[in-house]
Amino acid sequence: MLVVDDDPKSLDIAASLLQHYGAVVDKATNGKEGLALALETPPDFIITDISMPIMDGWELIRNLKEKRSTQGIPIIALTAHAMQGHRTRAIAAGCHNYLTKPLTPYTFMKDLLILLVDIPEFAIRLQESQT
Amino acid sequence: MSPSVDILWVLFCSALVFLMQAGFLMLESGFTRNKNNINVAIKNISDFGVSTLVFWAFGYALMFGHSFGSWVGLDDFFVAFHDNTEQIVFFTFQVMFCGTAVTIVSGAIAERVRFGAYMVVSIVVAGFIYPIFGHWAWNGIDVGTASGWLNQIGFVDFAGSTVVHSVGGWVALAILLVIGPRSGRFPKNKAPQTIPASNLMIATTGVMLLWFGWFGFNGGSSLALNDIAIRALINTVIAGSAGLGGALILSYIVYQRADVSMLLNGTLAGLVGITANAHSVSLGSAVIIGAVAVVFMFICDIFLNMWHIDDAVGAVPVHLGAGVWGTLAVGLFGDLSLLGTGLDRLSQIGVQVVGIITCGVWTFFTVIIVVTIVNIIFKLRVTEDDEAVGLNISEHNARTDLIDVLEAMDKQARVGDLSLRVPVEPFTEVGRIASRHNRVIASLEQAIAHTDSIVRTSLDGIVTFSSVNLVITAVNPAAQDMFHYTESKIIGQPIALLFDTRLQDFVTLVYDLVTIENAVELIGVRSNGETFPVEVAITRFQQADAMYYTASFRDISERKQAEKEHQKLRELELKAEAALENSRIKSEFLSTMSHELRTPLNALIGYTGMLLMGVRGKIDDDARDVITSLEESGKHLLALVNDILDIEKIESGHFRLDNHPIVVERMVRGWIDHTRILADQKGLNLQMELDPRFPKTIISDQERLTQIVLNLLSNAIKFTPEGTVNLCIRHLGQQWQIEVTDTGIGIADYDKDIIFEKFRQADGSSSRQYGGTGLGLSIVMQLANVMGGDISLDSQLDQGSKFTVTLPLVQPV
Repeated sequence: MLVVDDDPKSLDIAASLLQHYGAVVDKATNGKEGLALALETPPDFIITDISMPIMDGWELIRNLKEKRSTQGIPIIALTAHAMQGHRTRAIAAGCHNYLTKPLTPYTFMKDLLILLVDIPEFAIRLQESQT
Repeated sequence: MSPSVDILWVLFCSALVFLMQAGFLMLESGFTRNKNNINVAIKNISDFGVSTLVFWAFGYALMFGHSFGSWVGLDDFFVAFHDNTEQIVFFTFQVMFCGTAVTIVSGAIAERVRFGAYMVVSIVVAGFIYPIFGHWAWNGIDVGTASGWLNQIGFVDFAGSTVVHSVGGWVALAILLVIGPRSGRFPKNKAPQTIPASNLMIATTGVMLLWFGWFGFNGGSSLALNDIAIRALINTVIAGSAGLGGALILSYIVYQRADVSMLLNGTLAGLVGITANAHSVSLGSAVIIGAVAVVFMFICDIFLNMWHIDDAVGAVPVHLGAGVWGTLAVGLFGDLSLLGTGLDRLSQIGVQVVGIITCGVWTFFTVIIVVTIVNIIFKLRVTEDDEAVGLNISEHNARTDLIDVLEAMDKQARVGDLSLRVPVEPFTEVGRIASRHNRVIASLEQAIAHTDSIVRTSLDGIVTFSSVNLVITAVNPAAQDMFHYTESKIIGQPIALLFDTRLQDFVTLVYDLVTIENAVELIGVRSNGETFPVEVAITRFQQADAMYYTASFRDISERKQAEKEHQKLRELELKAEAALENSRIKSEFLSTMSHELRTPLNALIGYTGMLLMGVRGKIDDDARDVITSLEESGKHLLALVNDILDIEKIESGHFRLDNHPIVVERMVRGWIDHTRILADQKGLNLQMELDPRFPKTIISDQERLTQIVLNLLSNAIKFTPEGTVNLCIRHLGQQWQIEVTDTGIGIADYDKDIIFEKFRQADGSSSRQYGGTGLGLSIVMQLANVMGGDISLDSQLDQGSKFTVTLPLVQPV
């Protein structure tokens, strides 16, 4: 899977948690980098921050949804608590769902699972990898 | 004068001389103004009639009665003739001459003399002055003997240059000196004014008639149809023409044009000049006499003007000036043999001069004395008003169509009533003028009516006031309303009454206003003393001789009020804008700050969580305690930042609901799932009740609902040491309720109001004991309000609390 975030600590936390549960994680620090990685090796799903330099999350999402090879990949947007309307906008842009920062390590996996529950095969795989 | 042909001739000439009366009438009335022309005409006919009677009664006796010492005749008063045809014919001829002498006066003194007084003068002249001098010059001519003293010394005056014309001229001159000039003829500090002639065509016709009559005047003076008569006739024609010619030349020299009165009077001067000598001069001499007579006339006229003697028709220059010349010309040009006086030329000239001087002395001084006495008794001169109105009206009440029209116009001008119309006499020139005047007035009336209606209906107050004492003369209804005065109360009051200004200041103000021609704002005063702002513009206009002002008022109280309110509104708007700007800056600051705070907090919470989860390997228990504290502090700080941001958003109005369809049961289970861990940690019983009638889905803002409920649930868990926390979702018609009940420590009555305030918890110390930011309930309440609902609290200390949030099922937009 691919995690995109400009804040190195946030990126480290998200990546470490996913790796802790056994996922193989690619990391990118902006949308452009993330897009290049996603096109090179399409991940199973993508977690991306919205506010980033060079290429922000919105543009990344738009680009991913335009490319045939990446348009089927579920995307979870990470939105800051304060950003009103990001949720709606994120869904409209084609994100599968969204998570509100900060990531809480205890509940991160559970929250993620709840969000991905309507993609059964994916959920099962996550479940398996966790155990 | 025995043959019938001579009788016929003299009678015919008498008729011609009579015709001269008509000539004088036309000349004099043509030379004077319309308002006096009837007076002039009636004077002409009256003086002839009166003088004829007087001459018959007294004059003839004095003039032609048997001479008493060559000085005066004393018989034949009220002459009866007794079938003496010759005497009758002679009388007829002479009575015409007398009338002529008298009528000369009327023209000179026209336009200012009272008719009655003039009749008295006529009587004196015809009955006394003329016959006495006539006696000296002519007594005995009817019988071919020289009985008068002048006649005896050789004085020759064939047809009366002196006897008739000079006498008339001297009388006129004397009267003119007594009565003075017409008003306006010689104004002070101004050049002499020419008073216009009313009808020069009539005057010209008059001169033609005079000339024609003069044939009788001179031709008949031989008292026979003989060589003398014929010579006199032709000389009269030639001298008259020479007079005209001389006048023509003089007129071009003096005026560079053919001056009408100069030509007319010049002709007459030529005729007067030849009168004394027509029987005894050659045609060549006649030309010289006629032409030089004009020069005498002209010089005489210059003197009259110089001395401010106002001869209305130029009678004195013509009859006296040319008369003197004509008499003198007898001596200069007369054929001595024809004169038959036996004198040499020089003696003849001397005698002529004696005659001229005698005439002047006698006539002038006698008349001065007589007229001064008459003036005292009868008042010769009319009043100034009568002179202005015209003697036609004042002396005779003789109306003409023109007079009627003028009077009607005067009345109109006086009363200012435009509905009046002047009388129209059809088919006359004056009638046409009158009818045009009426049309002009009708248009004016219409225009005024139009203006009047504008003034009447104007919303602006319009006040007219005079320049004298600034007294109000007219007000329109709007002004009456504005100042609360009735028309009768305000008219005649000073205009300053309407202003909060001293009169003295106001006078200067009025002049300023008229000058700047712009409206200014002043303070108006109503009759009850109330003041109000008023806009005033003043214009000036002239009516007749008086100056008036028109002030236009506009009550601007409302406008002022509106301006004030607009100003206030504008200030409020500015304040609001400033507040908005402040709020925007504050929001921006808070948003930036929270974001900046959150980023390191995220890292803190993330890493502590990971450490506690053992993601980064095992940690010993001491370290775990420290890291747990760290994590809790981080979470608390994050909650605080989030809560502050929420409150700020709600209060600044930036908060927007993000309404979507919500599957109710799933949302409610999510709430329970989320809080179960906390409840389990404290060993509390967490229960949920969902009203079975509750709709499966509602449209609302899930995030905010979650915020409300999780706040309430976590509070309940936090403040409940043991027992149950219950979440109940209830359907209530158009509303629904979220009810959170606990069996916790409860809230004291005195704390129930403050717990919804920011940073307040029921017990000041509880924040430390139970954690939390003290902002939760405040946010809950504000969110509930924003969603169109409310929150209520039911609690008893140590018994537990019940928070109920009531929300509408349909969210307000």
